[in-house]
Amino acid sequence: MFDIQAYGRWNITDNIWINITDTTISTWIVGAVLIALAIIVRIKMKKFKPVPESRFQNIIEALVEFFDNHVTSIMTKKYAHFGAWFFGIFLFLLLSNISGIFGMRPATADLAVTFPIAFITVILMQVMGIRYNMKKGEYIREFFRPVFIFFPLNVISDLSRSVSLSLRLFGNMFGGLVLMGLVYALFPRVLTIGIPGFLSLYFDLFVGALHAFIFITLSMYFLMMKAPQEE
Amino acid sequence: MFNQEFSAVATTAASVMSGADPVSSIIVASIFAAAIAVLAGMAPSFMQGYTAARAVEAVGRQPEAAGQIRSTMIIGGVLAETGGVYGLLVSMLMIFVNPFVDMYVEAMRAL
Repeated sequence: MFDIQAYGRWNITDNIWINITDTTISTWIVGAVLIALAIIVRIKMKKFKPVPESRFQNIIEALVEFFDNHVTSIMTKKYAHFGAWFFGIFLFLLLSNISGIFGMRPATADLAVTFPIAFITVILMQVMGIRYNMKKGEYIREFFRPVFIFFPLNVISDLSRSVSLSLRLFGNMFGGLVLMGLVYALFPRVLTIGIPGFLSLYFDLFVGALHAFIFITLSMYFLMMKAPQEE
Repeated sequence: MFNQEFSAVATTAASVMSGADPVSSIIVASIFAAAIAVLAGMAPSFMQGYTAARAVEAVGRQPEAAGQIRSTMIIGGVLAETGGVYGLLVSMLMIFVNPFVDMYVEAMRAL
């Protein structure tokens, strides 16, 4: 009942298949919406004034400013340029999470979407360490703390961050999906008009927005762990 | 009518209990395991309530720091929730993609 359906499959070689699934299609839709939004903002940006007058400019500026403040409060001004990546991921996760309202299967209710995004966080941690924490090899030395025997444990603790990040998001979105499906399957047809809307409000809007926010916040905290310690 | 249904349920239960029908025994055991795994959500919910209570105390003591306390509370609560989500995932695994029935069928085919 809650499986991911495949609409088309192509065989590339023996064991490699390309699938067009629910997740793929909803990812395409979310991507198309985001690209359209970006193009609209870019076109309207020519008419933006120093003191905002239109409602549209106010909304966009409030969104960007809120996120900018959040990034600088966690990552300090020096690393604020990482915020560009996190803003994109935040918008993608937010739209994916609340796309359940519009009848799509949320793309984030699929481990194949959440795990790569979380794994990019792990790669970014290493980038942060190599780019900014390489004075006197501090980044390498971090792996051998407190004694050199702990090297495998430190590597595993780095890798396991991707697992915990992705499973948290996936579990919450999939749990909401299953609960909503059970409500629609259990109630008689008359009761499913309107009443599950409140459940949808919680599971799709509140949990979705909260967990998109939590995902990027935790990612930024993980990145800051690799930053050089201020003396 | 009722007696018929009851006897059907009773015979099914008897065959499950005695292990005469291994596949349904496996499924019943998996459902019990799923129910037990969901109990893992108990402790995180309890402690999330505790987190919220302490946050209310902190806001009462220092109302000007309410914004920061709120965001810290939400992050702490969600971090605490991870264990419960793992329990939920295990129970989903048990119900929807149960590996043990396939394992049993494979073992029977190999015999």
